[in-house]
Formats: sequence, structure tokens, C-alpha cells
Amino acid sequence: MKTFENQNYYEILKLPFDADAVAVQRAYREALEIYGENSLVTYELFSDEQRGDLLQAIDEAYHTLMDEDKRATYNQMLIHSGLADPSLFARKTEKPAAAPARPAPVKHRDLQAWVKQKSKEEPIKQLISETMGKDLVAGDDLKRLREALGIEISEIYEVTRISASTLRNIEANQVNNLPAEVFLKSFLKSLAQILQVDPQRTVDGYLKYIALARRPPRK
Amino acid sequence: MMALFAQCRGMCRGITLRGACGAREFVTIAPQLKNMPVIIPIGGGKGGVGKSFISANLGALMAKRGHRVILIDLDLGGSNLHTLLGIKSPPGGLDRFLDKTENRLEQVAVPTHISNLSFISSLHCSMEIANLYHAQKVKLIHAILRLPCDCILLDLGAGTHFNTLDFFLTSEAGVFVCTPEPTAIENAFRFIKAAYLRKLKQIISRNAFHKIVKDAVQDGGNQALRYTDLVDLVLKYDPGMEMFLRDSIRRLQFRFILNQFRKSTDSTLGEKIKTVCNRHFYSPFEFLGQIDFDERVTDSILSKNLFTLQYPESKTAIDFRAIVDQLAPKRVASHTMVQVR
Ligand SMILES: Nc1ncnc2c1ncn2[C@@H]1O[C@H](COP(=O)(O)OP(=O)(O)O)[C@@H](O)[C@H]1O
Ligand SMILES: [Mg+2]
Repeated sequence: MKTFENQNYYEILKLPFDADAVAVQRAYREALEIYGENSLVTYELFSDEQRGDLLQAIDEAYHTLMDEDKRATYNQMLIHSGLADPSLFARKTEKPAAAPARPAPVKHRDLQAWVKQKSKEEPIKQLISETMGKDLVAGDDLKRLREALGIEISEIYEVTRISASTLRNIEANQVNNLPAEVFLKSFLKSLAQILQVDPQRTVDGYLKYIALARRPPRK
Repeated sequence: MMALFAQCRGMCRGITLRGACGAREFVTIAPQLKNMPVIIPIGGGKGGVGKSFISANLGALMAKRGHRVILIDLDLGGSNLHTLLGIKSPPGGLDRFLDKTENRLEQVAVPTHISNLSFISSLHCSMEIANLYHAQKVKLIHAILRLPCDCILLDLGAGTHFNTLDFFLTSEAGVFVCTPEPTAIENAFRFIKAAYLRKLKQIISRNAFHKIVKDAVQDGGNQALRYTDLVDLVLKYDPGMEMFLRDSIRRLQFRFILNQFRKSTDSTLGEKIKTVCNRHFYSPFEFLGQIDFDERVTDSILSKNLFTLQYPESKTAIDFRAIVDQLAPKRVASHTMVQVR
């Protein structure tokens, strides 16, 4: 049985990319009418677990698409991952990027050479091996590394097209504002490639870290 | 990979007969030949939703349009199609074919008061559908496929016994019936899932799947095995066959009718069920339409009349005709009436 697993939020709610808030509301209500526990349409069609997952996906889709900021980040992600063509979004999807700190950001190749050069410096070498040696990789670790290498968020955006706000959320461990896991993994890989650290370790370490961070605080 | 794919498709063809009887034995049906009749199984899981009422009326309306139709009562142990056709005590039918009194299935078909419409009863069968031997089932299915007519309607019993499912799967576009009530919808979904699972198993058992996947299917005792598990197994051990499995299961279509519709029922229910099923099953679903509830149906049955012929102007009869438009074979027969004994 197919679930919503590989569907994006627009597909889940059956909405076009440029749907307005009224349409999102309506689509959400209709989805609940069909997938709700007391719906005749799907009576006993799904197990409790399946239904719970479907309803959760519907809720996530609704809350993301109703929130301007979250939606812009999400759209950016779809574009970045090649899942949607930018022209399909009639609305503006990306807020103007923060003014770059340096007037002319270095190009990708330059950045690559730059990071390679920088990584040879002893304190940075040490920082990298320290970070990669840890089981958990926090957003702060990635931020510290980026800053030590002297790279701006806007430069990463230039190369990866991962929106600045998403990058900031990753660095700030904003567990509630992170992209869906598939996207997050791909973003972390891109980021690791720029920082020239092991992508797999970065992904695993970060996912482990946020899994811990997501747990309710203990007394 | 493409070669393997083509080879597997080729292996679906032809007729497989297996000796033993059991849940894990499948009946393979040859691809429909040009002059083979259209088979329309009417199933649906729950009793009392109107499968027999619908079979009888669809059969009559199709016959009226000039198609040579044979109705077969396959609700062994719960036969009542004769009553709906206004036949008080039908002579022997399936029983005479199964006990070899008659060699050919068409010899046990009896005419009805509607021309072009014949009927095969199962009233005198001593066994229930569950007790039908595998060899008998195979023989019966092959005989059905060779009946000299344009269209065969199979009135199936309630439940999801694998014998019932095999008759349902004699067509790649069976029809299920349910009413707009939670219990009927629950049973309809159970029926669909069971038919879907049986089809998945058939596909796997007949094609070049990995041994682990095949073993899982062969294990008839494993009742807990569900279709999600099967797809998971294929993904895990046989990822190369995943597309093949999906393509094959996509060829199985489900069509459905919502019966006993009342004014208070959500008029979009059928379309909604169709949309949801198309979204969550790999098989395509088609909604044939709804049929109004009419209080006069009981009297009509008691007076041995076929409702749609007695009240052709009723909403119920209009609903029926709209469904016949979609179901009836496209070619109208020019030959004479089906030979009956
Ligand atoms: N559209 C309808 N309107 C009124 N009564 C109906 C309708 N469809 C079915 N019925 C009634 O429901 C009863 C059960 O139908 P039946 O065809 O025997 O169900 P099944 O074969 O699914 O067990 C019939 O006796 C008939 O009186
Ligand atoms: Mg019946």
C-alpha cells in the first residue's frame, strides 16, 4: 500500500505550488474528512499506525504551507533538490538574501582551493579532527568550523542554493524548523563537501545530535 | 535487466494446473482469446449488500440489449440467485457439472423468462465454496472461460475465502459491491486487500522472483503475511523485480458499485473512495456508479419480477442502465441465443 512517503507537501494536500492560504485551508479540511478516524471513505482501510502517519504528514504539510517563512524555506528546498521548477512558484519563494558580508563572494572553485589551503593550518586541522572524532555533530560544531575556515553563509548559498535561513537553522539546531530528513541529509552532505569533511560522518553525527535534542528535557 | 523482464512477462502466459489442493495453489488463466466471453465477477465481502440483486438485474439488462448472457450463482451454500430471477425450484446446475453427470458446463445452463439470459444454479451443490477441491475449481474456471456466450456474470458469495477470490480474479477488472455503511465498507476493503494479496502472490509464484520471496508466498500457513510485507520483501531481496511487480499488479483493476444509496448519503462518497484507493493501491480503481435504494424491491422479488424491468422509470433502474453502459461488452452479438439443454 502506498503512503505519502515520497510525496511533497503540495502533493499530500493535492495543491498547486501557487495555492493561496484559502486553498490550503480547504485542502486541509478535505484531507481530514477523508483520512480522519471517523471517515466513512477510509473506514478500516488503514491500520491505526498507518492512519496516524498519514494524519501527521497532512498536519505537517498544512502547518508548513500556512506559515510564510516555513513555506519559503520549504519551496527553496524543493527547488534545490530538483523536485520543483522555480517557475512553478508564482509567489516569491526566497526572501532577498542577507547582504553579503564581502562585496564579491569567491566562486566555488576559489572556495574549494581556499578551504583546502586553510585546512592545512594546524589549529584548523585540529578542529576538524576533533569535530569528526565525535559521535555527535552539533550545529554549533559546523558553525565553528565554517567560521574558522572564514566562510560566509551567503557563500554556501551561492554554491549550494540552500537558503540562508535553512543553513542558519541547521547551525542553530532549530529542531522544529529543519527540513524533512531526506532534504536535511542532502543539505548536510553538500555542506560537508564545502567544509571538506567526511559527509557520512557529518550526516550521521548531526542526525544523532538532533535526535537527542528532540527528546523532551529531563528534570 | 530488460531481457529478464521480458522473459518474466512471457512466463505469465499459459495455463498452469497443479495437482494438490490448498490455499497456496493458484489457478492460471490463459490470456483472453478473441471469442472468449467477457467475465464480470460480482463480489464484495459482505452479505446482503445486493450482489445477487445486482447480478440478476445487470444480466437482464445486458440480455435485453442483445448480449448472450449467462449468470452463474457461485454462492455455494448461500444460493439465492434463482429467487431473484423468479425461478422457484431450479433444476440441477453446477452440481451436475461437478459430479460429472454433464460434461459441458453449458449443458447445465437453463433459460430464464428473458431471452438471451441463461442461468446456472448452485442450489443443489452439496458443498460450500470452501470445500470445493482445487481440481474442481480449476475445471470449473476453464469451463466458464469457454462458455459460448458474450458475457458471464459471476454472483459471488460473502467472505474472502481463497476460492471466492480465485473466481473474482478470473477477470482483471472484477466488480465489488458495497453499501454506504461502515460495516459494508470495512468488509469491502478487506475483500479488496485479500484479492490484491492473492494476486500479488500469484504474480510472485509464477515469475522469476528471488527464492526468499517465493518461499514467503509458498508458506501457506503464514496467515499474517500481508501485501505490504510482500512488497517489502521484494524491495529487500529482489529490488530488480520491484518494477515488474508494480507493473503486474497495476494490470489488476477494481471496479465498484455503491448500492442502496439513500437521500441522506454523501453524494460524493463513491468518487472519494475511488480517489483514495487510487492513491494508496498500485491497482487502478473505477467507480461505476451508485444505485438508489427503492422500497419496492422486496415486493418485486416476492412477485417474481426483476425490478429494473418492472419499474424501468425508477431512479434505481436508471442507475442500473448507466452501469450497464460501462460494463456491457462493446460488440453486440448477431448470433442466435446460447444453446441450453
Ligand atoms: N437498491 C436496493 N434497493 C432496495 N433493496 C435492495 C437494493 N439492493 C438490494 N436490496 C435488498 O437487499 C437484499 C439483499 O440483497 P442480495 O442481493 O441478496 O445481497 P447479497 O447477494 O450481497 O448477499 C435483497 O433481498 C434486496 O431486497
Ligand atoms: Mg447473494
